[in-house]
Amino acid sequence: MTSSKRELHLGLMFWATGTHPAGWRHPGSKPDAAYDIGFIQKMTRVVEEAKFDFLFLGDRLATDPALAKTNPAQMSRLEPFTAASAIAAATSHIGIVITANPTYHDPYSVARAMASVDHLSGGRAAWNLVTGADGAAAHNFSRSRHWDTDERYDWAGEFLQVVRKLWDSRDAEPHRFDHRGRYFSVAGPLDVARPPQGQPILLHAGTSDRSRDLGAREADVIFSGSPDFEAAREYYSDVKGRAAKYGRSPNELKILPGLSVITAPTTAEAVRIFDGLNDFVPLDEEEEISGELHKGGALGQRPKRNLASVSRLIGVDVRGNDPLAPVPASIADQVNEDGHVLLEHVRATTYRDLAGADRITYKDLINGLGVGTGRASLVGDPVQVADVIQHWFDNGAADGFNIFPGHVPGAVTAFTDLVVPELQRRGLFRTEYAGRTFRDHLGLDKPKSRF
Amino acid sequence: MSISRARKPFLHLGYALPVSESPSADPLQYDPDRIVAVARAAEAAKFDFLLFDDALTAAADENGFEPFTLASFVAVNSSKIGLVVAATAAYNEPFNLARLTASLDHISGGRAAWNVLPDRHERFDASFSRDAGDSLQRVDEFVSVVRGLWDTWEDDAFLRDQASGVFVDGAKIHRLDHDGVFFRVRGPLNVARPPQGQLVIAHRADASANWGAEVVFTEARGRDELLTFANLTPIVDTARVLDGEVVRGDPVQLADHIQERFTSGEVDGFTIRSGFEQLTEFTRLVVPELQARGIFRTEYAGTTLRDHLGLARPAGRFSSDAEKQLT
Repeated sequence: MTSSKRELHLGLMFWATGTHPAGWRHPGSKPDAAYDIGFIQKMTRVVEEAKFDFLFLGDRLATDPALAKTNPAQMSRLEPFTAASAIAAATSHIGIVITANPTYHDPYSVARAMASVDHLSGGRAAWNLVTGADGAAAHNFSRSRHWDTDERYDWAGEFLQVVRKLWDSRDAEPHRFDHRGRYFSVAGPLDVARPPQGQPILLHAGTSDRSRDLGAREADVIFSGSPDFEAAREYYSDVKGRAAKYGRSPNELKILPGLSVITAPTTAEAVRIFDGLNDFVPLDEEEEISGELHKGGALGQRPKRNLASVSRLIGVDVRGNDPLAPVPASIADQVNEDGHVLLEHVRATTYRDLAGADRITYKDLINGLGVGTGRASLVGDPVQVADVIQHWFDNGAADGFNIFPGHVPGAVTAFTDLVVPELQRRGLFRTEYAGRTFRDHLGLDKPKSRF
Repeated sequence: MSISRARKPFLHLGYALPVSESPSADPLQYDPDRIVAVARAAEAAKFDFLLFDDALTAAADENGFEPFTLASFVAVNSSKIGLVVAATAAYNEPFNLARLTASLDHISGGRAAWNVLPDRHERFDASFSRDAGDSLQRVDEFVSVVRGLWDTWEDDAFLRDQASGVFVDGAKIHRLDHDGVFFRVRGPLNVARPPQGQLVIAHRADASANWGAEVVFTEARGRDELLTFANLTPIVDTARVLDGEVVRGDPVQLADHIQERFTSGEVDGFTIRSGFEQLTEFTRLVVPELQARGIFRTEYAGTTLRDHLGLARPAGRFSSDAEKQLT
């Protein structure tokens, strides 16, 4: 299944109450959505009707009450394999991405459950292979410590080879094999027939050297966290270059950066939604400037929402100002490199500036904390959003996007109702699925069995 | 949880899905719609539960769906019938199994049970990089960790107050801090407390008193506090023939056989093990006979498996009620 025309690919990063820390408070959001499987099925049908490639079920293997402030949607959720089966039962075309961490699983169990979901869904299962940045998970699995990157990737590499072999091990007849490696001794065949896709789709995310390498060698889709166009382009060309070294054609591997999108029929309405979400997140008490600025990553860690954090980041002491007061234009001459990045981000997401009628406030600077550490974030009308998507897609930064909805269902339906038709009008995105399996959506053939 | 013999109202019936029974060539094995149709037939007949066996415990070369993913698929295609899923302690991590089971209970609205399998097989030891030689003691500890994890979120830990912005009550989310011989598990689980509080635990033989089981699959009555289920393969036929689990007879004779064993107190119910066609015959001809005799329900009285089995919902070990019980 090869198509001459390059096609945009879209996924939905699904955390049931949204990816914004206050998404669950947005009017119309459903605060108990994480356990409402009917609602989750309905949201999947919404993006299926919009012809999305996939729904992405994220995961983390440890939780902590501290997450309530930073990532409430990530505190707890349905287990991804069981959730995926329940979603498969209510849908017919969309790919379903299941996150599973080899560090804390057995290859046989992952191969088995993934193959089973691929059968139940008629060839729509995908595995998002993560090795996990959550050190805390080790304590839930009888381990004294979280392994370092090299150890996790050595393990994950062998794990994946075993899973791939198991998936191929039972077609018309069972194929016995006896894998003996550094970490695993695994006898096949699997007790599930070869999946409809042969090999379910593999996703991988990560920025480390080991991660880029594993993705370039093995993944069908790479989900990246590039914060801006330049970073995305660097990542894109690096990973596609690595893939070529492994003898893969660039089109076999889709690179989809994460993208937060808040859209509405007009720019002003989109900005109002963005401001409203941020207003729900309380500010932290003011404090000394000394101390390290958390750029996030560990459980419940993020920069404190106060002007001390802003001051540390931009290199100018702005403590003591009224958060709602406008920031003087002269600040642009005083801030460091990070400060310029922050100001640019605030301009782009609020359409406010240091001069003119609609001015950047100190609170806007606080709301922009964390920029540059995660994914790109767009606020705008459908044309503005589609322009950015097209720019990245046409200029070697993305093959598509994994869309992060700040609040659910609002940010999902706004994207499907407003942005998808705009992308379709431009001929960038499909108006019908070309096939029934996730491989079909990605234009990938079913691989031959190794046996 | 003790079951009062005096108030047992109804016979209980389960159906063991024969999904991994047939040889690999059987296409039905990978036909979820057909399996859903069977599940719905059992639900229409007011069965207490479906039993999802685990091929990992089969010595023969069986294959089929992984049981939790299949059970979840069936859960959203049904509304009342219980889902008893077999899983071995040997080839799992307690944290992962606690998530799968709790998650299935949420997806099904409180209809899940875990059939604890202590079995190991050489064939699968070889598939899971396991050394031989763990003990029943490991299974005991495994079950206790899973049950502990189910309780780490109190029932009312979620406030989700959009107005005040308080999502959870952190004081109602607990670490387990289990530090045992085989496992060290800190918790909390990353899934809310299951709708049933604790899933119903079943096991195949009356092997361990330490698992908190409430259901036993056995040929002779287990400990008195356990609901006892015997296997039965009923075949609607003209002549009455008894051959172990296989019982042939006309609908009245089959109902007689079931009623006798139930009213004598030998068992509380049966797990029907038969092919799809025989199940249809049983639900069409024998279930109405049992209902006419007043020993089997004509409507579900509740929505959870605990409701169907007449089992109370346990308080969490970390809840303030539980503390009151301790003092």
